[in-house]
Amino acid sequence: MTIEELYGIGEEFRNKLGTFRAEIQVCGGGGCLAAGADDLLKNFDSACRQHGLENKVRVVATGCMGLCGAGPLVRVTLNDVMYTRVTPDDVAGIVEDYSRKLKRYKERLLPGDFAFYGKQSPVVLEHMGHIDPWSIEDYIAHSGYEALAKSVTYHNPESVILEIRNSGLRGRGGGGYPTGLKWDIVRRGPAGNKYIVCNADEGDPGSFMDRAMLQGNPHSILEGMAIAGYAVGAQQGYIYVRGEYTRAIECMRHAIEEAERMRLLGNRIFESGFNFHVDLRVGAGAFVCGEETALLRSIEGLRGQPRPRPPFPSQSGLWGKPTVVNNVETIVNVAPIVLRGARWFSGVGTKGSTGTKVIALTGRVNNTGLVEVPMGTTLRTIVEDIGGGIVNDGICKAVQSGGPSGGCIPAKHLDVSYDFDSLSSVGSMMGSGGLVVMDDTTCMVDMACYFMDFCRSESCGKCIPCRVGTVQMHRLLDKIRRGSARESDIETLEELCVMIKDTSLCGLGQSSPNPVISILHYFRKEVEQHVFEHSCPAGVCSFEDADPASIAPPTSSEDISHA
Amino acid sequence: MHEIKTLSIDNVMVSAAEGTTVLDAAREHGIDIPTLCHLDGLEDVGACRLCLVEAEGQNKLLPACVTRVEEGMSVKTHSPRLLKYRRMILELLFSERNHVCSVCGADGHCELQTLARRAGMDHVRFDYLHPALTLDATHERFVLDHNRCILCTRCIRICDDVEGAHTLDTAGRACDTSLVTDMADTWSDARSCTSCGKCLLVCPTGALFEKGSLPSEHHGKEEYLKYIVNAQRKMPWKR
Amino acid sequence: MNADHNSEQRSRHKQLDRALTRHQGAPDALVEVLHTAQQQFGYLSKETLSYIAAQMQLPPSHVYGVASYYPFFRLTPPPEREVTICAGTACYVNGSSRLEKEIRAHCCATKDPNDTPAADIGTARCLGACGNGPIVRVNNDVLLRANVDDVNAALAQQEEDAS
Repeated sequence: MTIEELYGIGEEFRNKLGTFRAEIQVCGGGGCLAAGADDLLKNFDSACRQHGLENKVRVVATGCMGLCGAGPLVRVTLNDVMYTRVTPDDVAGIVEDYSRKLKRYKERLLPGDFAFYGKQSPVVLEHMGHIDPWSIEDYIAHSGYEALAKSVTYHNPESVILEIRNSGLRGRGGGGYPTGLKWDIVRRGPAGNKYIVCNADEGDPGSFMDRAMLQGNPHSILEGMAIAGYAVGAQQGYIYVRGEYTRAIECMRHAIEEAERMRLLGNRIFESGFNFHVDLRVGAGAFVCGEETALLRSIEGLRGQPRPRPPFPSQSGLWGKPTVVNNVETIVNVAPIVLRGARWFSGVGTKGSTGTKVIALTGRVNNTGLVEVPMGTTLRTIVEDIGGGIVNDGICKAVQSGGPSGGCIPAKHLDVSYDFDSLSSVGSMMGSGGLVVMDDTTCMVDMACYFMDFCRSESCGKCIPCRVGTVQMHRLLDKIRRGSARESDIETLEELCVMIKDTSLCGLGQSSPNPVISILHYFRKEVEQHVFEHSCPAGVCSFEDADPASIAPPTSSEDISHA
Repeated sequence: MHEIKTLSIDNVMVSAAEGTTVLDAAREHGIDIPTLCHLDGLEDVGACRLCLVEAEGQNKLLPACVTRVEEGMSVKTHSPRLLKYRRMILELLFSERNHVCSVCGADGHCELQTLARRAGMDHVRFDYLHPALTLDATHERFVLDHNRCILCTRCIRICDDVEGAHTLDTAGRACDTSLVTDMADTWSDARSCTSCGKCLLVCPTGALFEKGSLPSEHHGKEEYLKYIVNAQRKMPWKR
Repeated sequence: MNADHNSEQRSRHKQLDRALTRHQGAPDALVEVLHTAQQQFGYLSKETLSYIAAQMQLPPSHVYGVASYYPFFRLTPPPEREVTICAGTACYVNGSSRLEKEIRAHCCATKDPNDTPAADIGTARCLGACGNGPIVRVNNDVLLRANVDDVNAALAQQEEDAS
C-alpha cells in the first residue's frame, strides 16, 4: 500500500457512495442496540427492497450518534434529518415518505436546531455515527489512515512527537499527563522492544465513550496507535478491552484483520521500514485494571494488581520495557492533530486544556448521551443547553464528574468551566469524562455510600488502607444512612479520607475518598441533618436503626442546603 | 562500583551506595522504620504502607522499602502525620480479622502485636469486621489460620521465590482476598507443597504455625532466610 | 450418557488445546486461555483450571489466583436464569437500588419457599447503556428504563419461548 493507493481506495468508495441517492443510517451504539436497533435495521432493509430502492438507498448501521437516551436513532442523509425513538411501525412511513417524495414524515422527527447537537464541536466523534464501523473503506473515504501515511512518509518520529507536544494534548483517561511528553520518554528509553498500550478497560460507572469509539470507529484507534508506535519506535501494540463489551471486541477484531489485509498494519507500512502489529487483550471485569500498572500486569497474564510507581510504565512497562499507556480518546485525538496541525488543536479549548472532551452525560437530565465539547465549556451549558435541563422541570442539585475518583460539584458552581484545572479547583476531576447530573431526588449521603460501596468491592486487596479503609468508610456512611451514627463518626470518616488519600498504593485507592470529601465539603449540612435530626431531605434514607420517635418527617426540597 | 549517595534521614546525614533503599539506609544507621510486608531477602511489594516516609519537596509519601536513595534527599521517618497514619493502618488491620492476642499462639512473638504496642495503639476506633474464616489443619504438620492472616504475602513470596514450589498464592480480591494452597483445596491436597516449613518462619502473626509447637519456637529463625537466599542465588562455595 | 459426557468433555478440551497451542504456552496468555475455557464450558471448574495449569506448566495456585481475581470469570456453573440490575452511577441516580429491592421482593419469587427461585438476581458494575437507566438484563435481553413488570414480563416471555 502506498499513499496514492490509499487515496485511490478512498476515491473509489466515495464514488460508490455517490451512486446512492441517500443513506438511512441506524445508530448501532450501546443504548440504541438495547432499544432494538438491530431489528430496525432489518426492517429498513426489507422496506427498501419492497420499494425497489436497494440500489438507491444505502441502509447502514453506524456507530453511536450521541443522543443515547432517545434511541433508537435514525438519520436520513438526503435532507440530513434525524428521527428519535424509532419503532418498527415508523419504518414504512420513513421509507415511503422518501420514495414518493412526499412531505417529510413528521413523527419522531428531531428539530433541526436541537441544542443537543448545536452546542457541540466533534473532533474525536467527527465521523462516528456517520460511517460504517465494519468497513475500512468507509473510514479511508473519510481521510482515514491519511495521518499515518503522512507521518510515515513525510515526517520523522521526532517531528511527530513535537507536533503532539505542541498541541498540548493531555491524557483523557483521568491523569491529564501531557501525551507528547510521555511519548518522548518512551522514545528516549533504552533501545529494544517498546510497546503501545491502548487502555480501553472502561470502568467508571456512567462512562461509555470508549465502548462507543471501539464499536463506532475502530480504525481511528488503530491509526492513532500506529502513529504512536512510529513516533516512539514501538512495533507492537495492545488494546486492552473490557470483557463485557462483546460487540466492541468483535468489531475491533474485525478492524484489525481488515487493516492487516490492507497492510495498514503489519510489516513495511506504506512501503517504509516501519512495522507495527496490534493484538487485542480482553479484560475480565476488574475496575482496577484501568490503573496502568494493574492493566500491564493483566496483559502479562497475572492478577491485575497495581505496583508502586516509580518506575513508571514509560520507563519500565510491559515485560520491563518502555511502554506508552494511552486512553482510547487520547489515541483518537492523534490523527486529527497530525492532519490539521498542533496550532489548530491548541486553538481549541483553554490554555491548560487544549482540544475537546468527550463527555458521557447521564443522570437526571432530559437529553442523555455522548457529547463532545471544547474544553472550557461551562457545566451550565452542558447541563442546561446540551442536556436540555433537568427532567420533570426539576432543579439541578449537583453534578458528579470523574466517576468514583471524582467529586460532586454543587449547582452553585455550574458556571465552572469543564477543563482539567477548573474541575480540580472545585474538588473534582475530569476522569474519563463521565458526568452524572443529580436533582433533589438524590441524597448525597446515599450517593457517598454508593461510591464507597463501589470502591470497597473494586479494591484489589493489595494495600491495607484501600482494602480495609474503604470498607470502614462504607460502614460509617451506612450508619449515617441508617440513623445509628454519632458526631464522632463524621470525624473518623474525615480522618479516614485523608489517610487513604495519602497512603494508598495506587491512584485508584488514593482517589477513592474524593466523592466523600466533596460531599462532606459541599453538603455538610445535609450530612449533619442525617446524623443529628435523622432527616433525609431527598427522602431516600429510611433510618431503620434509629429510634422511630427521633426520625424527622421528610422536608420539602427547598430546604436542601447547598451550603 | 556503585556511586555513594549522601542524604539526610531524620536530620542525620547518612551515606549509602546507589541502589540502596531508604529503608536499608535508615536501618543501617539505626533508624527503625516499621514494616510488615517487607522481609530481607524477599522481593518487595510495597503493600503494607507502614514504611511510608516523607521526602522534602515531594507531595506524595514514599514507601521506604522500594524507594532508592538519591543524592541530597531529605527524609523524615517519624513525623506526627506518619505516626498517626501508621497507627490507623494498624487499627485497620486489627479491625479486619480476628487478632485477639490472648488466645493466639503467637502472643508475645507477633510482629503485628509488637508494632501496635510501639505505636501506642491502645484501642481500635473502627467496627470489628471479623468474618468467621476457616482454619486449615489438614496438613500433617502445619496449620493455616485465615483469621490471623494479614495478607502480607511473605509466605507466598518465600514459597515461590526461595523454595520454588509456589504452593501458596492469593485468591479473590478486595476484602475477600485469601491465601490458597494449590487449587484452593485443603492443604493436605496441595501436591506441590514440599512441607519445607519456610512459610511458617516468615509469618509475622499466628496465621501459620506448626502443630504441637508455638510460633514463639520459630522466633528468630527468619535470620536463616538471608543465608538461604544468598546460598541459592550466589552459591558462594562454587567460585 | 456418561460416555456422551466424556466425549463432549474431550472435544471441548480439544478446542481448549487449540487455544493453548496458539499461544504456544506463553505464560502471559493465561487470561486469554481462561476466556476461551469459560466460553467452552460456561464456567471454570477446578478440573478445567487444573488442566490449564498442567498444560501451561503454571502453579495451580497461580492459575486459581488469577481466575478468582477477575469477577468476569465464573468458578461455579452459571444459573439457568439470571436477572442483572445495572449498578452504574447513571442507573443509580435513576433509582436502580430501589428497583433492585423491588425486584428481589416481587420478581422471581416463588410461593413455596422450597421451590428454587425462578432466577438468580445480581448486580453488574455498568452495562454501558447509561443514557437509559435503570437498566436490567434478563438473561440476554436488555431492558431500558426498566420496572418490575418489565422484568416479570421478560421472564414469562422467555419461559414461553423456551417451551
